[in-house]
Amino acid sequence: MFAFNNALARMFDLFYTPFRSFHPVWGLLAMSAVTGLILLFIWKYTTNQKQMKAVKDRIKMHFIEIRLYQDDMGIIWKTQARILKQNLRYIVLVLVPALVIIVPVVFILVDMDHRFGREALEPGESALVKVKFAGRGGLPEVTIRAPEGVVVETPRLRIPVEREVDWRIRAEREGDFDLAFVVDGDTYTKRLTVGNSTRRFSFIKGQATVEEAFFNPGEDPLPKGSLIESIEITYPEMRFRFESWVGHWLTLFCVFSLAVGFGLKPVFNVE
Amino acid sequence: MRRVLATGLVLTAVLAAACTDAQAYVGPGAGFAFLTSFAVLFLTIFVAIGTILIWPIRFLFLRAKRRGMKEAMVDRVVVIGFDGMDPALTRRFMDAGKLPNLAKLAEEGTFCPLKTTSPSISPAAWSSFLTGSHPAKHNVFDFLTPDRRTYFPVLSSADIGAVSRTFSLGKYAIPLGKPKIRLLRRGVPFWKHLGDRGIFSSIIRVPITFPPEKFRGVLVSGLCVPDLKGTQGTFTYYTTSTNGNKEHTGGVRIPVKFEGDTIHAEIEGPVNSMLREPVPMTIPFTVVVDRPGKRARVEIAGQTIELGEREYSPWISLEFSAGFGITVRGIARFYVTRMEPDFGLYVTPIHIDPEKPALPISHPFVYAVYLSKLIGPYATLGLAEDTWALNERVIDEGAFLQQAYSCHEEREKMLFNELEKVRKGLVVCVFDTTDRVQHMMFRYLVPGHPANEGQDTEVHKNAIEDLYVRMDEVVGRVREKMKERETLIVMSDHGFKAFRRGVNLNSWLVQNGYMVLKDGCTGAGEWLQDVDWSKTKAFALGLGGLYFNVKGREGQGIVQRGDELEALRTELLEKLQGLKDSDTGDTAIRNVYVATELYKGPYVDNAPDLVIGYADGYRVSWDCVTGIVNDVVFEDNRKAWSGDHCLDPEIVPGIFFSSLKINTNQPAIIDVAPTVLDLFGVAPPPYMDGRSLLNGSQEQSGVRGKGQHVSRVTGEQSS
Repeated sequence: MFAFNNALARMFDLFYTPFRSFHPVWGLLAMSAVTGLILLFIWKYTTNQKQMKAVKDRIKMHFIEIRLYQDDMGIIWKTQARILKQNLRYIVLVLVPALVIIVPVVFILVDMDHRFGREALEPGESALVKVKFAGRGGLPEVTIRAPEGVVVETPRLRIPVEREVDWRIRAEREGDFDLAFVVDGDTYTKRLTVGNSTRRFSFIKGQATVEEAFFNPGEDPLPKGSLIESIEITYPEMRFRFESWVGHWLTLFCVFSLAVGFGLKPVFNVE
Repeated sequence: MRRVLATGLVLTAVLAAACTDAQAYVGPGAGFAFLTSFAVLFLTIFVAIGTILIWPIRFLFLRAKRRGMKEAMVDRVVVIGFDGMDPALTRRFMDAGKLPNLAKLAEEGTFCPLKTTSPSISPAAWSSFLTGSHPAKHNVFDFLTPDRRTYFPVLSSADIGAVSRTFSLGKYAIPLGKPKIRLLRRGVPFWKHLGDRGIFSSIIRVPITFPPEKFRGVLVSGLCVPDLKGTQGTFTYYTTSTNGNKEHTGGVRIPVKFEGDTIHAEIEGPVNSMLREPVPMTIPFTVVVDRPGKRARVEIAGQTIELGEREYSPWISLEFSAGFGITVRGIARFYVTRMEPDFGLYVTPIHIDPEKPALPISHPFVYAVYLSKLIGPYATLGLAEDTWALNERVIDEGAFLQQAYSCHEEREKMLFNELEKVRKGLVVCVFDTTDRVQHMMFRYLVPGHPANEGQDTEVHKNAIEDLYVRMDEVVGRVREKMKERETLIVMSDHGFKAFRRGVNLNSWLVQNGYMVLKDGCTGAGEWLQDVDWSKTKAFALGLGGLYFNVKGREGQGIVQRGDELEALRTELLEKLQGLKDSDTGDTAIRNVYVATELYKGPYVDNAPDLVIGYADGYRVSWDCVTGIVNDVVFEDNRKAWSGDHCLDPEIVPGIFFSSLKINTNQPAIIDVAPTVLDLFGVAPPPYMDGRSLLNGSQEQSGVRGKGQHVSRVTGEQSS
């Protein structure tokens, strides 16, 4: 799974290479467009286009019917019931294709979340580092070792109820740094990324499970059964701005990929 | 494999369930699905709530507007038009017990001949039906009318103009605006008057309703809707044969060659008016023929159609590209006439695609779209049944009947949908099948018909009887849908007679010195192009009209108004009235009608000066219709088009059945509109020439469906 993820990550890296020196929004829009296009084709070949057209035609027909015979309440009610019935048929028709489509989309989205979900720290910027412990009982002793270029600003904060120990750190210069955590003589590391937000980076590192490999790729996991359950750096959320609109990358992706999909539907004759 | 798929789906579902908020979105595919389905759901709920909220206001508004309904004697009137259904044939088949539903209607209500218009031609007659007036008030006298300046025939019902302004861009001339489509028929359809009183009407395929007019209700246009090329129907015939006719009337013959088992050809669409030098748009296609298997595979525009010999394809969508992403859509059907020894592929005229109409063919515009989504693609061309293809022997009787009944089925679906939808108001549906099938099959009823020579007289000998039986079944099914306080009228615009002999009036005019040909010309040029107008006093054009070449009215007129014109009229009247067939000695022309005596109305000047009433068995000849002059005045009609109605109107009345008893046994087609208005309690407007069949000297009472009686005077009902 990790090997697969790495291969996938390299593929995505390749795609984003031309956009490295630009604002992240360009990479985001490009991936949204490509996703829209690819999924349009997957949609075309995994759905029963003939039946889809038939159902959509019936729905459109009923809507026109409401307009044409608007004086007759009886017809309107009957027609509305028929629309709902057709709508149900439509949902049934798209259910399996939608499930098929989820597979590639989830990989794309997970990767995108690691590129556009958070911003890397800027030099001089601070962030919380949270170490969460597995198991029950008292919190083990843990120390943090920051490399040159990273300053630990606060002493550790122990939150026994959450089984968590926090620090505030500050980055002093650009680069990738490995923070080290020593627990009972064992050392665990977590990558800290400072500067250049167009790269994919990991926010949280967990123990080696399939779920962890899938949702938090990009960094080797913590050994299974270790005392630490996860190490998280609270990078600031990346926000995209257009005029007065400020929003999450997912909103942009939704709108743009859908726009591309809908826009190209007639070109590729997709229902 | 199934296990893998199932495991994959389960894994997918688990992954989806495990997604965080940011990962919950599953992409455009599912996005489409959920967006559209939830949009539909939302819209449905919105419409439902909106309907409930708006209903009281609408109810009050409609109540106020439907003041006509308060005085209405009926909730619904259904008018079924069977174009050309003949009273004599109807009586014959009814007496033979073949038409039980019509017989029952006659027994309960009325059956009598219906006086048609003069001339007895569908455009004129149906225009009179819908306006309740004579042709001089609606301006439609024939299919064609002469351009008074050029003598060239133009369509009498509609004019499709070009776009007045264009923007030049290289080889393109981009139109700035839409072409202007004018309805040349004058007068107001009676359903407009009903609509003004808030009464809803559904009008299906009534002739001369293109372009559609606005009113309260829905309408899909009928006769005179052009094909995508702008003609009244042009078929295409692709053949490997080098024998036979090289040219066809009403169609185009395209020679093709085999390359192995494959034929490459193009289907020609409308002219691309976006080009500065317009050329027709085309779509290439290939036909792969499996001769031993008697199958052909047609590949056109990404569609593959498998056809057997003598088998029609469904409607095939044809999208012609004009440039700049602009497309014009039509539909056509393919039919392999033969595989061996020659290959023949017949393609119907390209109809306007009702799903995306290139021209307005319905009111409201979306009604045509609605019907296409309801019943699928359907014939939109006015003359939908391709009579020319049979007349030119490109297809045979069997193929023609198949095509005609296919169009008929579409029309039936439209009618029965409207009967379900319109519970109060008017439903009118005209079936053309009756007209087309009788035109093409009448010879089977007439032993010794010249068109029978060398042709089958057995296989389809019951075609007309079957036609009447089939229409009777429609009436039966309509009657089942009728309730109390509803009236059914079954009618036709004219009857039918055999067309055995053709009369070339123009040849007669030449022989009698009223028409002169240009020096050195034989008259073989179409549309009277060989005529020397400076020496011609009269000419025939269309199916029943004779025109004088009047000075100041015609482009090169020479006959002075006043005494000269009167003298010419009298002279021609005397000579043509009772004109004998020089070959058989039979009377060819039964009556000649003078327009000024026949018509009263603002458009009388546009009428033919003389309307020729041919005798039974005669009609204007094929050459005369196309403006060819020769030395033959009378000739046998050997075409499949062997029956006609362009005769003396007195001998081709239509039929009138009604669930109502009426006050006369001589109703006229112009009486139907005032009668329907009267049934709804709407006073017929003064301009209507017809009179309500409910009015009259006798005490008006009528029987209606389910044994209900209605008193005209009080509107009270009694069992």
